[in-house]
Amino acid sequence: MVAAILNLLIGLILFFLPSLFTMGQAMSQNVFIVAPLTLAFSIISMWEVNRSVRFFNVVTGAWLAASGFVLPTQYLLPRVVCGLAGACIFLLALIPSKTKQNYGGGWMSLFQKHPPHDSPKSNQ
Amino acid sequence: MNPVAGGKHKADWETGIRAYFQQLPHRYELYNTTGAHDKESLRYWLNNWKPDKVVAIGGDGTLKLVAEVLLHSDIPLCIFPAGSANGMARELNVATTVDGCLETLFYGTPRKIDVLRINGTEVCIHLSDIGLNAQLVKYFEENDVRGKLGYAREIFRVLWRKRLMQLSIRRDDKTMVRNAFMVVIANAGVYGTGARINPIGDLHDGLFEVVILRKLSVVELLKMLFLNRPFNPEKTELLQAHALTIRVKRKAYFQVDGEYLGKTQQVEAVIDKAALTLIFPPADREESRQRLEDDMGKETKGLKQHSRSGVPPGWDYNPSEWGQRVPLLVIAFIGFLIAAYLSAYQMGLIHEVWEPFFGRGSAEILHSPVSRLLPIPDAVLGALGYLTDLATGIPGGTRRWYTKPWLVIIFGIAVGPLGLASILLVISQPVLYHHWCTLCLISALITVLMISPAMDEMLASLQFLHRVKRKGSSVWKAFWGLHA
Repeated sequence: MVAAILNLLIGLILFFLPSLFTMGQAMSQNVFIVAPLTLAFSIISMWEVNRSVRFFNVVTGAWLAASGFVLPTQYLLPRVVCGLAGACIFLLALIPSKTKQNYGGGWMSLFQKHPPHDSPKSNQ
Repeated sequence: MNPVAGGKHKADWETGIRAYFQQLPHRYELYNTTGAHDKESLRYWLNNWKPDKVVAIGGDGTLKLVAEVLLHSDIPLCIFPAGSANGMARELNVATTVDGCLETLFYGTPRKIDVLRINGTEVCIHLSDIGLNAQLVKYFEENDVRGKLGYAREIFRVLWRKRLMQLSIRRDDKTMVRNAFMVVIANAGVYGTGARINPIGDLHDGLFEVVILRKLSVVELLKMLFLNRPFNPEKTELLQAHALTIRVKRKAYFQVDGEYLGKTQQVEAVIDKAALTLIFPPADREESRQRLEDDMGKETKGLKQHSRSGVPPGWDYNPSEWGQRVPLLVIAFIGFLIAAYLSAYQMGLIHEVWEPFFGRGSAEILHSPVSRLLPIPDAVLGALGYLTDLATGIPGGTRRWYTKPWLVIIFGIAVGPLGLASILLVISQPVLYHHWCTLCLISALITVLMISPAMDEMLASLQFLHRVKRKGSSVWKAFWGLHA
């Protein structure tokens, strides 16, 4: 949950990065694409039942970190900031968090041969 | 089970019962009445199954049918009121929910009750009458509109065509002559409408009552419906008997326990003491709930929660509970208001749009080519999306994740893509137009906030369908709530 909140804050900050730094069109547009995605995945993963949605932020974080080197820009600072932000998002998305409630095995149970929600001992 | 009783599909009852028994050691069989040779079929199956208890799921007619088969058998009969007229269930104060009925089935008290033998062949366990109400039953049976609406329509027809009967009542070698609109031969006391026609009715006293409605009076009707005060004998006469014979000068409408039996000139009624064992609701419902929880133990804890409070197996809460859905519906409504406001601006109904932060940002975004990609403005589409959320989020009870999976899944689909579209629109604002729109951002935030709370309910429904599939039952029927 804390990791999701931190990623949400980073997502919010990303919205303002193009206004804070001169970063070139490609970089700023990339940030404007990544920011809402990070924000949305963070919000969705705050609910325990969809906690695994955080893994989408592994992708957005990795891409943001890499984009500083892949996308053309003549400025160093935006590269560093995007690299750091992306790394933070990436790492925070990997942090597992405890779930306090049971959801019959969650989404994965739909693909399991012996799902927890169909066990006689479910809810124990 | 009478599958057509009450003008409502019995899917909720059947689904609830199946879910309840899913992991219990008890075995049950379901017999659907067809209207043809039901009595003979029921006798055959009861002989084969040799049940400990029998449940009649339907109205008074269904109850009568099952009761006739079980008479003097000592097999307790439980009532699940699922018909248009559920007079006997009302008499016994039987719960109207599946859970409440199942509680009665397990922890109710079996007690012998008297029944009436009418004309030597018919059995009456509740109320039988000649005149107005029987006429109503006849009209209702002919009517193609079922349920309460059907009854209401026919009441007007009956009152319009009411006829005073001339009749003689022979009891204990004495004969009395009366003019009346209706005569009730009452084993019980209360009609399914709640009207207490027989205030001294007792199912165990070895007697039945005859109620003679000599005059139609609003005051008497109010007494029956609400006041529970003695009738005025000049208008409503009350007799007790072990046996009697009623003769009517001109043939009159006649019904027994909600079943119209044609016109008749003579009715003979005799009490048959302690002939049927009925299961009465537990006196202390809280205690029975506790007993049920204790008895079912840990092994079936999940099932207990599933059937009792709608908690899906393996879950700790019920995602269809109103506490879960109402916040979602409130923000969907706020989203709808925002989208409707933006729609009004896009359609030119208002000329200014509220924008506190980004100057002309909202105007630029709301008139951008992307907003006009479809035949209708994107805000209108958003408003329709929110309306769909509300239309699919409000209906259904707290068990809709298994009683109406189709509704829950449409709800989930409506919320999911709306959220996705909002994220894409948020991305398009700075990338394509270098502007922001405050209300569009708030609307996008609302749709994203709605995703997870909607998805948990959808997960519960999908897990339910998964279980149905694993058991080899029809997922299609389960999806439409027809089978569990």
